[in-house]
Amino acid sequence: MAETVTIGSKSYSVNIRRSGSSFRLQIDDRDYEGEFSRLNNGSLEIIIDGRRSITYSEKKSDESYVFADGINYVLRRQSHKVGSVVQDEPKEDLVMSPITGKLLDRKVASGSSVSEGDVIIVLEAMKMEHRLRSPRDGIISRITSIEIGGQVKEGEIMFELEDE
Amino acid sequence: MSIIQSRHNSNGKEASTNREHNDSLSRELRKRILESSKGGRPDMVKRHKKRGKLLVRDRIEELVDSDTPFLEFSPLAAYGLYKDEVPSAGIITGIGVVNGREVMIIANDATVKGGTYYPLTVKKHLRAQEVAQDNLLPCIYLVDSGGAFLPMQDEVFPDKEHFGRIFYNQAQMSARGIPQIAVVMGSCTAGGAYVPAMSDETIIVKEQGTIFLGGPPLVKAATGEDVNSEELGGAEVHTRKSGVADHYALNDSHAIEITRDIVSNLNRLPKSKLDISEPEEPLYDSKDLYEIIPSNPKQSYDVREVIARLVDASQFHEFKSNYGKTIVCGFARIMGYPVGILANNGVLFSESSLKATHFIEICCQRKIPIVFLQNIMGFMVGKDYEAGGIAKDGAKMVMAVANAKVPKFTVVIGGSFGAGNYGMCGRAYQPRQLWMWPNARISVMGGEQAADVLSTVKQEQLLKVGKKMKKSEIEDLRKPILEKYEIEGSPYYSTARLWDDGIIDPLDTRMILALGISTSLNGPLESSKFGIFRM
Amino acid sequence: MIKKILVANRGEIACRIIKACKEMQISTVAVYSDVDSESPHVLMADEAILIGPANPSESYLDFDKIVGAAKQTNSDAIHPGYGFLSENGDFAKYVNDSDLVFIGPNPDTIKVMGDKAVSKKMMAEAGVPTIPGNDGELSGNIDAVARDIGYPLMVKAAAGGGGKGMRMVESPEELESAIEAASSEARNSFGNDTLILEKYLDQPRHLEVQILGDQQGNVIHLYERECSIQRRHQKIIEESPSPAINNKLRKMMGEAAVKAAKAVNYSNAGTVEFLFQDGKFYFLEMNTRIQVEHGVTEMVCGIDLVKWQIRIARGESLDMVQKDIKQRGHSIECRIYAEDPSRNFLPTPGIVRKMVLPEGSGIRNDVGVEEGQEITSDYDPLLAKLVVWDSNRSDAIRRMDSALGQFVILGLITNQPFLRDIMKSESYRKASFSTRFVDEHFSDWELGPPSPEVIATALLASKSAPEKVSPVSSRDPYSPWSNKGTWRQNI
Repeated sequence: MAETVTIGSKSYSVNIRRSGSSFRLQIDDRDYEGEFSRLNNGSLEIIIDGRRSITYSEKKSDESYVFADGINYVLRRQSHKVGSVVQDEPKEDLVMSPITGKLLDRKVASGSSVSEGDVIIVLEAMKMEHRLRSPRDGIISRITSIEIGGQVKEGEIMFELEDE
Repeated sequence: MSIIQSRHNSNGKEASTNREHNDSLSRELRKRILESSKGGRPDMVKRHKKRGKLLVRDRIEELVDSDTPFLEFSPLAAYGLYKDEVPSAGIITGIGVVNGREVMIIANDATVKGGTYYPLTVKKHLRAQEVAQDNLLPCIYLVDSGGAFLPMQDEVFPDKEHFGRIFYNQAQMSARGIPQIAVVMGSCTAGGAYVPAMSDETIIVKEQGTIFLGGPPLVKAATGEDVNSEELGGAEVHTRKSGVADHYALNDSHAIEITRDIVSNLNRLPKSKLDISEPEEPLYDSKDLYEIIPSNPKQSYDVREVIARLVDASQFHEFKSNYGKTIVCGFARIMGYPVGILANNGVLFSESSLKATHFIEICCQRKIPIVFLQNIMGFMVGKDYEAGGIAKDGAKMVMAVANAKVPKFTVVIGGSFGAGNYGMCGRAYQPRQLWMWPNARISVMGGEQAADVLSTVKQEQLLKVGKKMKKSEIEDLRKPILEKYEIEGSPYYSTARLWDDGIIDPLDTRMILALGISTSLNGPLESSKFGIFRM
Repeated sequence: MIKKILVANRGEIACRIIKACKEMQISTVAVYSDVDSESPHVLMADEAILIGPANPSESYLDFDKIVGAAKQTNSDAIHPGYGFLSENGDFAKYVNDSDLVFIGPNPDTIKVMGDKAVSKKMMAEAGVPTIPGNDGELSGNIDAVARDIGYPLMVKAAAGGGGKGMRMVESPEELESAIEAASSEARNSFGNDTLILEKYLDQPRHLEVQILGDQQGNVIHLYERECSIQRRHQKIIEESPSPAINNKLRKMMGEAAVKAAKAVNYSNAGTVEFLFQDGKFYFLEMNTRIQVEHGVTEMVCGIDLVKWQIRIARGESLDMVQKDIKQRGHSIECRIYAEDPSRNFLPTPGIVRKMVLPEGSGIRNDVGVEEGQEITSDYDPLLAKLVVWDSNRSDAIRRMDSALGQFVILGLITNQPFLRDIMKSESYRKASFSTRFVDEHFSDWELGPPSPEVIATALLASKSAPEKVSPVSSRDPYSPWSNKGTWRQNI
């Protein structure tokens, strides 16, 4: 997997592919082929272009520590994984009717200020009431003009909140 | 079991000539595979990444478990075809491990011609499904394709083994309980929309994946409706309204995470039981293979030297060793798995065919997987042999191979010519996988033979009218034939057209066979029933 | 009779002292703050007493707690090491008054030499060359005094050290503000705002002479150390002998140092620091303690200074005379600090996750940390001293370069790469440097580009993401799918 490695003030785009004890390494635009094996004391033996080195490393979350070529390094790492996140709900400034039924009540008028959870519209279908509430604090920018007692279709826009 | 005694001498001149030759063949192979694995043009790659999408191989790496193998199929598909503009036929297929179980991964490479389906792309997709079906592997489709490659639609759309077969296979596999999972990471248009629609579980990436039977331009033309891709068939629509997709992913990595979760919930059943023992490395160095495989294909060698470097502890329980010596049969283990091995050691005679048939029957009865190491010029020809019934003896072998239901694996380690290919379980005989070595050759007969046959025929024709061919004329007749067979018999020609599942380094043979056998245990070990053996 | 010594210090010097005690079969007591509970010095000592929280003023600088611990453990003597309370005359007196032996000179000597103004005066009277300046406290027409000395000049806190309470003044206009700034800093750091003015030497070398004096009045010197490689007025590389002086000067400096020591009836180990420029040397100050870099003198003269400190404290006489002391070969010390030379030597705390020390003939490691230890910002970030000896300077440089190149220390940023670059540099090898060496040659130092092995190691050594590890099937236990690691055909 590709990642960005930062040492001191310089960053490099790197990627490694491996199979068994062989690997192919990319650092920015350069390619290197090599072999590696893990030694008993935890160090690595790496052979690149015929050069053999013994290297040591330790790791901590997003930092790696490497000793190679007689120098101790601290590397900061950032993977290019596009990053998994929790689901976010898309904004629901537009509230539509979830059912086909009758408009029982309209509680506020256009331009009113409402709070999250306030009941705005009451619908009825199959002898059951449905209350449509405001998803957030805000101002009603428009509200359905269907008359009380009139028919409402599923998906029809009931009310909308003004842009935040 | 007795150990194969190797008579190989590493110090001979022959050994070093062979080693150099085979080493350079392997290096050439690696070079070509590496080149094709780079995918599409750099500007397409850049554009793909700019959209926040992962490259196809990175998607696969993220999908599979850490520190596990990935067995890729036909990486050199479409090599030298379509003006060399479609590396790997624009689709990556292979078996990987996700949450501890083997799955078949079929992933479009959107950087290659938009991931569109060329004829070989379809063939590769279908082949992967066939492998999945044979081995009961769940299929994971990482979909990112522009659909059929329209300029070649006549070779992509109408026929039986064309695009429509993809969905037929999905339906059939699903009916047989083989999970079908689609991850929509790009477009799924028209026919392509059926990949996710027909899958058991589908994931779609927001503002990136789209599914629709007709795209915006088509819709506009048909009904005048103006709508963009996302509105028409994006993640919102399909996970909230239509139910065409089941999971909403924020980006490629998230989609892959969800996929892994799905796989972990598949109720994986235990593998079939096979009498497995602890693996042991062969006694002899596998690198010797480079020295054993002759650089001159006409040169013969004892195929037991190859077997000795493939099997556990180089132990081989040979069957009928004194009879039908031009085929070597015996039992061994490969990484602990019991196998029956058939390997050519010369031309096929009646005796060798009968021995092979008997051996195949034994393996089928014991439900032991069979490995065929092909290096066959053909059956013996001549008056005595025809009178001896070699045709029916060859037929018995073909009957046995065709009906053998144990997992069969074929590796073409030398030539694969004529009917010898059939008896030794060539492509048409449904081996679970068929692999070629870089030195392999495959054609109806050898190039020299074909040239000889054709020039003999021609010379006889001319003799009838009293003419005789000059030496140079014979040469002019033979030369193009030799060239044609040289090209058409090359493993790269074969692998480009998916006549095999890939060219492999001889040193990887043991690993690849073991992976194949392990994979086959995902399905039941069935009994075989044979037809009439012409006696 | 000193049978048990309490070491009132931490880190590498505490370890050094404890080692010397062990060799002399003297029991040891370590004291420690709560963050040091598993430090090497605590583990090495025979007994250990917790004396307080990390903040030094509540632990390592607390008279009562330290003397209390000594009493509690029936110790006979306290060795103060360097830094902390080693040059605190009041502490030395307190220790003596508590019926304990303070391993060092007597309290009055410490106090006298701790006062820059007083000590300078005494040295001048003893005939030791001193830096032109005002002797004693500033009084009268400061501008006139300053003009006499000549610009550029240094305003220095009389009671100060370590670079605090000092200001450089280039011209008369800057004098007043420099005096104000220096005196307030001095007041805050040392509780004493007495100042002295001194001529400023622009390219001095820092040379110091090790002396050893017994309670019978014998004083010898063990030649000089060159300590010009410094950053932030703190030494980072020292060597002995100094490549800058000839034997004549060497003899003169040694004799001057002995004269200085005798002038104040010095006993125990001490160092007389000189500034050297244009062939002349000037007394700078006297350090009445064992120093960080004492090791290079030990390597070159073959004498264990810490053991002599203890012997002298016991009342023994020196069993050698000046002509017995010879310099043999060349020794260099590099101080490994947890700091980032590319960001102004900013201290870089962290955890020492791995440490492998160089070994071999002529290599000595004085280490005060161990693997797993957390280096915090509570204390000086000195992790270890790497000392080498070889028969001549070039060989010693090569040996040090090689030893540094084998020094593995992972988990935090250190100056190890920086020290290595200095050791390889032409300017260090040529040895024509002054205390401005680091500023002149390495002020823009940055780590060079990493070799591919570095990146390969970081990427290969990663452990697999735990949630992506493959479980093994029981029906197929040897399956190559789970037993062969990563395997690909397109490498």
